[in-house]
Amino acid sequence: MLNDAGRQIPDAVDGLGHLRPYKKEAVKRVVSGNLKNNTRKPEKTTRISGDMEESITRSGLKNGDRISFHHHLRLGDRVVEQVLLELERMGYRDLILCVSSVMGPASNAVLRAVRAGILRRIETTGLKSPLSEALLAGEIPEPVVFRSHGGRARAIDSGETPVAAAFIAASEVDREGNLTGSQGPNRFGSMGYAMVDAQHAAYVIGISDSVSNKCLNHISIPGNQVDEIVKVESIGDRAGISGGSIRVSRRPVEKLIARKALDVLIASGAVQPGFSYQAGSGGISLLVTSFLKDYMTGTGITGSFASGGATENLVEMCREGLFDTLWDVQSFDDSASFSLGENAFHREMSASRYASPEYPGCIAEELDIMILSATEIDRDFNVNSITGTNGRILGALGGAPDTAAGAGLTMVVMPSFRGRIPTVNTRVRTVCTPGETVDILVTERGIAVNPRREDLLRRLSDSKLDLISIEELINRIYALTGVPDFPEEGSRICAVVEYRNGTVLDCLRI
Amino acid sequence: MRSWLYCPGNSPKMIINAGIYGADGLVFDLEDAVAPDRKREARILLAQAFKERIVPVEKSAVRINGPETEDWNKDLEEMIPAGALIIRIPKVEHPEQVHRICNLLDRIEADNGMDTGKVVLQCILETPLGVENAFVLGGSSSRISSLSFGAEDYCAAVGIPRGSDLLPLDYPRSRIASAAAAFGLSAYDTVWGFLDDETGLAADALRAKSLGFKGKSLIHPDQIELVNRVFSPTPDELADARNILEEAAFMDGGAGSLNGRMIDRPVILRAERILQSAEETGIRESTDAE
Repeated sequence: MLNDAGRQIPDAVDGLGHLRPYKKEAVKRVVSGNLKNNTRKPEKTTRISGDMEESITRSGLKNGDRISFHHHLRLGDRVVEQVLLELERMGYRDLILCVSSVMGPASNAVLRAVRAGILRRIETTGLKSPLSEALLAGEIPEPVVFRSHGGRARAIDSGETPVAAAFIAASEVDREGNLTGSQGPNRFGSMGYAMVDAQHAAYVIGISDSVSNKCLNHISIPGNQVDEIVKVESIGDRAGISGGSIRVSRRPVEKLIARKALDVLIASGAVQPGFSYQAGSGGISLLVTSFLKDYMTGTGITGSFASGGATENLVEMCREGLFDTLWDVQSFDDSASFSLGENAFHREMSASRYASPEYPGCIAEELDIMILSATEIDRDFNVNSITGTNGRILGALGGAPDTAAGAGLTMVVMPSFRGRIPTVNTRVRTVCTPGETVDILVTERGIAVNPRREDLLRRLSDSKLDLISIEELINRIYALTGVPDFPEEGSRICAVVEYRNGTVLDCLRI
Repeated sequence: MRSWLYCPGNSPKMIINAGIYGADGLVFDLEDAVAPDRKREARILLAQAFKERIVPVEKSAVRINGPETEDWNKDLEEMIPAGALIIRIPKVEHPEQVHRICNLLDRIEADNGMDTGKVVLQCILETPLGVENAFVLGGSSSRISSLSFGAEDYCAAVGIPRGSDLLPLDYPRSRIASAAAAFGLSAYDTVWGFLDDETGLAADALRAKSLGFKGKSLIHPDQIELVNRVFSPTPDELADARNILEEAAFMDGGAGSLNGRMIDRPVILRAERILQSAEETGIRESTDAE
């Protein structure tokens, strides 16, 4: 059937069973009381082991079960590979991988496990090459499920996706079994995504290369949620942590867009005392934050909190008193990793508290301003952040659908074309964030307000901003690039994109 | 025109975006930015961009190859029929070079049904000889609309460093600005090549403005905002100009005074120019100034 994003969704798909189509009225948060309270027993003691095989055996993991990882080590991750190789040696088959994202060396390791028959399904916010190519080549037996960070947390919290064994990398552990990401030689900062797994998985295995005889200064995951710890030689490479999507742009076009974005924020009245703010990890988003910092310093306006992926810039802003609190679900650079646990303003949060639609008052829904990057946007303001116009997988859902739904002002910042390919199109290849949750698009060739936001249109109409309708903007771009010849989609569903509440927004077909 | 942003003539990506950053004028370069074996393809590409109006033609100049090269006439033959109306000539030293270019322009304009003299010239003086000949060059053709300074080659020829020491460039700048003013032309200053040195750029631009230059050439979009600001009238200048003109309205010719300062014809003319410049660049007097 056709869902409310205008996409054809089948009633069921092999491997995933029944699908619930996305409905517009389901966008708003409804507290259902589905949060499962299964905090682990406090009397548990954590065993420290040096043998991965024994730990996996003790976990009771069976073929077909669901295992989980986090991606806080980003491009420096070596844990996913170590665990999957051990599972392969132990002869496991047909597991479901539930991961916050897959990138860098982990992509190779996961692909190898898929080809070896160890994994049959992947549930993730995003995946990178070479796994992305394998997905489009039909190599993954069951459709990949793309979930936002909030959607993943909701699915685990509610028991919808029960995790049999969570493998959680920590940069340091102590003898009580407590885990942290902000101490030790390979610190990576917040463990926000893994906190949900630790709370709900049937068996939790912490993995670290550093065991402290002293109590940890900053505990991310308490020992009473951890069944055992495996000490390994190395969890990875700290230098790779900032190697993912973190890129501070020096490109003139991106700087121009960021300056326009700041002008919009100011003209909209959203930057006012006590405001809250989050920006994605794209180059333009990071620049907006940088320009916002200068503006706040110049005007003396201070905000209540900044959130999301923590960066050096946000840490500096809090240190200078520009924001009271930095809510950190993922630390993007060493400065943020070092700050967590050292600064009282820097608070670690779980993915549930960050963005789950079932978490009352989650941070995403307290946001005044959200700055998003995207691969594509369409005339209905639907945002694609997974595939390019040509269908290749370029990005991830991240927390975009969650923060867009929650923020008072959701702004998409992007160049109007990349290479010669337009990024503002009549129809996006894949709907990842529904247009009804997106308020404004800022490009170097014009600014388009979602007509749904009449209040914003009225407020901005008095400014000198280059406001045009999104249809005019598309025409302006197509006049330069020509109308793209969109590639045909196939008929076999290789992935589904879930909205944060578990309904299906779109399907990827090959 | 406060800012002229250079853009390589062989980069489609840069050509397509050159007009969006807020520079008053653009200079599409067929000279130094294009390797000798790429000149032909650059001409084809840039001509197409002009023909399809991908660039804002009315504020776009083309820097052709120097008058002593084999390419300048090919540049004109391609670019004028494509719609280019402002030609920037590098390394001009003699009026004879200007005449040679004007003769070819006369013929191209006639062949294409254009009014004679529609294409205007910006001469870049970037050698000691060019600087010394500023006055005769400024008066060498009615097509000339501005004189520009090119400091890099000048410094190399004279043997002085190009950097934060601005004093050595006062002489060529003054000579060019004065020659331009003698013929009612605009004078545009040289580029500042140190991209990360905004303080140096500001000082360089302010010095040029103080010597009579109306704007500056730029090599990067990041330089536009600062240079536009420097070459715009300040709120104090605007308020002063308005007060002078208000006072002048009550004067019966001759001279008057305002706050102990003599007001006469040159002062009134300068005030009018400041307000005109503000009008052209869309600058309004701030409330504070009022």
